[in-house]
This record gives sequence, structure tokens and C-alpha cells, in this order.
Amino acid sequence: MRNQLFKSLLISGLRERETIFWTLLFPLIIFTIMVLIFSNMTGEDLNFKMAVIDNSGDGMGSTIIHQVFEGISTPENQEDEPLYSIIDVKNKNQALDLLKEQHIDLIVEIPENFNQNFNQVVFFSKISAISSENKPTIIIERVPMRNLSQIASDIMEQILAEVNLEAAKRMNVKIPNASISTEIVGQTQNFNYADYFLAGILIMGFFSTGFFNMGINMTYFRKKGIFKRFACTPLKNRTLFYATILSNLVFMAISFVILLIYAKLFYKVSWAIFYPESILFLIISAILSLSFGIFLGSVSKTPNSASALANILFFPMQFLGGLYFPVFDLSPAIKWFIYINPITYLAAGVRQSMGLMEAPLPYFSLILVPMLWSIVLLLISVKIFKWDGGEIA
Amino acid sequence: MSIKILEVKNLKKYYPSVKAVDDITFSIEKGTVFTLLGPNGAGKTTTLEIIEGIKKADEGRITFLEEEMKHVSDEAKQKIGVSLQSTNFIPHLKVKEVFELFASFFKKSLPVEDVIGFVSLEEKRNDLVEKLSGGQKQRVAIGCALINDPDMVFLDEPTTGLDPQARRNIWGIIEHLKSQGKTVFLTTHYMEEAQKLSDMVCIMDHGKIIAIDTPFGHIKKLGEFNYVEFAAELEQSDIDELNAWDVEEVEIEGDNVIIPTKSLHTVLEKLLSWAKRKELDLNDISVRQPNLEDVFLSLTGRRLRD
Repeated sequence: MRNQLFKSLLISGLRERETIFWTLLFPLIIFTIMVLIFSNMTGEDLNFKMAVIDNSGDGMGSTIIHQVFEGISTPENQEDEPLYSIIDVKNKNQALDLLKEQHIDLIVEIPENFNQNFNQVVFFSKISAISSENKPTIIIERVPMRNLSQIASDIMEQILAEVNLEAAKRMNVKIPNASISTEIVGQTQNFNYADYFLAGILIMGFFSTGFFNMGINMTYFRKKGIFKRFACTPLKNRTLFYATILSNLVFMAISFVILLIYAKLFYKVSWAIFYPESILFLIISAILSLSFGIFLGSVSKTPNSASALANILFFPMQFLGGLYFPVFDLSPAIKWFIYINPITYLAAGVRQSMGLMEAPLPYFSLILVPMLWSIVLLLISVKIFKWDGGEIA
Repeated sequence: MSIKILEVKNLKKYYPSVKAVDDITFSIEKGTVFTLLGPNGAGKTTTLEIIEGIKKADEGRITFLEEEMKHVSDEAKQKIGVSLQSTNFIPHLKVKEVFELFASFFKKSLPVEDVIGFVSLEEKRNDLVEKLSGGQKQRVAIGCALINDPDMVFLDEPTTGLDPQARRNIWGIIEHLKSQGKTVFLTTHYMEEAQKLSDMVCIMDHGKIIAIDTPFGHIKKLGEFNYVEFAAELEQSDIDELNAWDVEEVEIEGDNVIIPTKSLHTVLEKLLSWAKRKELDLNDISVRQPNLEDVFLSLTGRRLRD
């Protein structure tokens, strides 16, 4: 009996276009968009194309610069893309055309007198000051109003500054002994935005199943008299309840598998989502999302009111729950919402378990708060749930 | 000797603003079609839903197959089939899948293909239920009620909202059930349906039973009346003149005039000469036998469709 009911509920869901889109396809779309936007903003996997115009001829200075360029255009791993790719050009005019047409991101020009000035610096820097017009200069050309060109130029300036610094050290020229050191706290493996979003969007997929599939379907079944019709048969309420829960869990599992395969194939996410603690937080997410679904199905009289309530609850919860961006540094005016929002704890919990980001919250709270939410929602639901306006005997 | 399959005693269901079911008692014999007839809001569906176990009664006892209960128990549900007034199914299921689902709810069930054949949905077995017409959906609902080969079938207004052809199809199914010895508990507000299909008709109004009898028994109680009907524009003085003849009270419904009489020939002769003298046009003149609508009118002073 339970198997057939479960099968029917599952078939019904799989034939529903809206369900397929929102619970199975939408997570893929939002995952792709988020990873593309945020990875590019931070330079991850970036590949800048530059043209090098060397007017200096042979010399020590230009040789060093070419060695630097060779270094930055060779990736550490062969399968990775280098940070910069050097594009061959015949002359500066061709390079300028390519830059204007956005086929390359910047031009690095080594001027005619570069080697001569470089040699002067090397040989005379300790005994006399070098006038500014005699300093060896490299010209970087970029296009305005193009982010990639701006970023490529900024990074190149940083690289050349490092080259200057290194050269000064080797020549024993006294320079201020200061450099920037960045340390990432709480990160136990290389940060990958795809992993970061995988965690968030898996939780988002679970909650959209709970809110929009389970919650709205329950009110639809009641409104349309489907529960009432079942009540005329020997079908037990608990059987109906279990079958509903199970079919929604299967939806979540399908959503999980599809997103994981997609993320693994196209974005090379890690297997950290399968760490036992990550799985624990995903299970808690599934329980909580179903609790919200049951709660919605209990408090709403019609599918329309359930849908409205689902939207009112779900969208602030997902955006201010840290599914897509860190929320702990947001304005104090909305911090109260972040701290009562159970999704905040789940997102932080999964990411901490995956070794992506240390949660600024006690570990026990990451489990306790969502579970408390779940218990409260279920208790309220048990109190007010009606199969059919409270009349079913 | 007849066997009572269902007995209802002193059933009550009161809501704050209305007595939906007000102390009703009746019994149904096995193998018969028992019809609750009454206007909308009479308490038919509430009565049925209490017996089916959907609603709780405030008071009263139900005896089903000699077992006394407050409402139909889970065990008893194995032996009944139900078609609600408005039936919807889990969306996006095919006809065959709906029957398979309902079959899974019962300990014993008929082969799905047999039920599909019984309700004449062979060509629609692989169609989604939501794509079916109203009459076809109603046949699916009745098929679900029959899937467990029940001893008793409850059909709540199975033909409401259907076109005449679809309605006749449903009547055919009910007559077939009766021929198979099934007990059918029907509710309707269509008097011709009750009259055609029922062995016993229980007339309900305002939560109370106002009469139980066979269709013929009900009509017989009206006496030997015939009804002369025509359409005409009459003044009040004309109606007063007609009431002075050997007739029951003349009824006016818009332009329709209905004259109940035991003296058909005399009244007809008088009517024609009276109309000629007054130069009145009598349109669509007809004579008919009394029906359950007239019974309801005589019992309540209202028509069923009011």
C-alpha cells in the first residue's frame, strides 16, 4: 500500500514541470550563475591575454623581464590554465588593434632604452642617485572601462613591483623592509568557489523541495479533497504521511545527485560534501526543510496562501542564511534575522565540515538551532494540522 | 426475508449556525438502491460523510453488516466503495495508475482491467485523469469506488454538473451495479434520477427526514392528481378564477402555470373554453403524471430546485 502510494506521489511529482524546474533544474542554473560570477570576480581560473612588445634588444634587464613573463605564463600543473598567456604580435599597431577589439587584455612594452637604464641602475645605484628619467621603465597599456583589462594591469603592476623588490634585495640596495603577508584563518584546504556554492545550493534545493513541493502539495491535496477521498479508504494517515515524506526525500536525493554530478563534471568540486559531518548537516537540512513543508501545509488553507507564505519565508531565509555569500559581517540591523535563521547554521555547518570556512559560531549551535526549529515546527504542525478541516473521524 | 446492510439511528450533527443532520433514522436493505433526495443544504452529504467516516457525528449509532459503530470502521471500509461529490485525484496520474493506487489500499481488489472495462474507459486507460471530460472523471471516481468489489457503494451526487449523455452513462453503471446485487446509497437533487434508479427514496430537508418510501409510494400518497401545464401571461384575477375550479392550488412559475387536478377532462375542457372566451394564448400546453418534485413540493411547499 505504502509502496504504491509512494510511487504514485513520486510519478506525480516527476510529471509536474514546475517541480522539475524548481527542485531539479533551478539549482543547476543558480549554481552555474553563482560560480561564474564569483569565480571571475576574484580572479580564480582567470587567464589574461597579453602582448609583449620588446624594443630593447638583447640585454640583462629584458632577459630578466622575459624570464618573469615566462614564469607567469607557465601554469604549475599542466592541465591548468596560466594566469597570463602571451599572444604573438608582429608590431605595436597590431597589438593596439587587438587590445581595442578586446582580443587581448593588456600590452606590456619594453622601451628601447630599457637595458641601458637597467644597467645604469645595477652598476651605479650604490654610489649615486638615479634621476627619474633614467630609471628603467616598462609601459603597460590597457583599455579603460573593461574590468578584465583593469585587473590584468593591476596584477601585472604587482608582479613587476615584486620583481623590483627582489632585484633590490639581490643588489643589497637598502629598501624599506616591508611586505604584505596574507594568512587565511580556518581554511584547511584550497578555497574553491564551486565547493562553496555547492554546499549552499544543495541546501537551497532541499528547502525548495520542502517549501514548494511538500508544503504546497499538502494544501493542494486538502483543498481538492484528495485527503478526504483517501479517508474513505482503509489507508492509514501515518501511511500517507510516510509516503509523502519519502517521496520528498527522494526528490531531494535526485536533486543532490544531479547537482553533484554536474558540479563534479564541469566545476571539479571536491568530495568534501561526502565527509560524514557534511552528510550530517545535509540530513539535518532535509529534516528541517520537510518540517517547514509540514508547517506550511498545516497553517495554510489554500495552495495560494501556502505559496505566498513559502515565498515570504524562503527568500529572506536563503539570502540572509549565507547560502550565496557570507552574512556574519552584514549590518547589525539585520543580524538578529541572521542569527535566528536556521539556514545560517546549516550553511555554516556544511561549509565548516567541508573545510571551506570556519563558522564563527559554537559547533553545538550549528546542530542544535536547526533541530530546535524542526521540533518546534513539528509540534505546532501536529497541533494545528487538519487532513480535511478537522472533520475526518 | 430482507437483510438490512446499514441502519442509522438518531444521527445528529449540529454546527453553531445550523443543524446539518437533525436526529435522523433509516435503514437500507441489501441489494437495493437507496436514495437521499433533497435540495442543496438539506444535509445529504453530511449524512453520507458521517457514515463514510469522513465526519464525526455528535450523536447516533450506525450498524453496518450487523456491527454497531459510531462511524464506519477501518475494517468496514474494506467492504464499502465511495465516490464523493467532488473527486480529485493525485495530479498527473494516468487512469490505470489511479485504479492501481486505489486497489493497493484494500486487502482484496478486482483486476484493474476489469474495472476499467466496467466503467467503459478502455480507450482512456493511459490518459492523464486531468485531461478527461467531466463525465469520464466521474466514471474514474465510480471505478475507484468499485475497485475493492464492495458490498455497498456510496455515490454522492454522481451526475451533478454532467451533460445528459454523461448522466445516462452513469445511470447505466448504477443499474448494472443493482443487477449485480450491490447495495447503492445515492444522493441526488435530481428527482428524475431518484425516480428512475431508486428502490427507496428518503426525502430530506433542513437536516430532517420528511418522508421515506418507494418512488411509487411517495407519488401514490399525493392522490390521483394530474398536472396541466401551460405558458401564459395571467392576471391575478385569472389565477383566482382558475383556483375556483375543482383543482388544488394553482402554481405560477414565471409564465408557467401548473394546475394540479383530479378531474383532468373537466378541467381541460373548461380551460380551453375559458382561454377562448378571454382570448388568451395557452402555449406549450401539456398534461403529465405527478413526480417526486411534486411530492417534495407538497411536503415542503418548495420545489427541489429552489
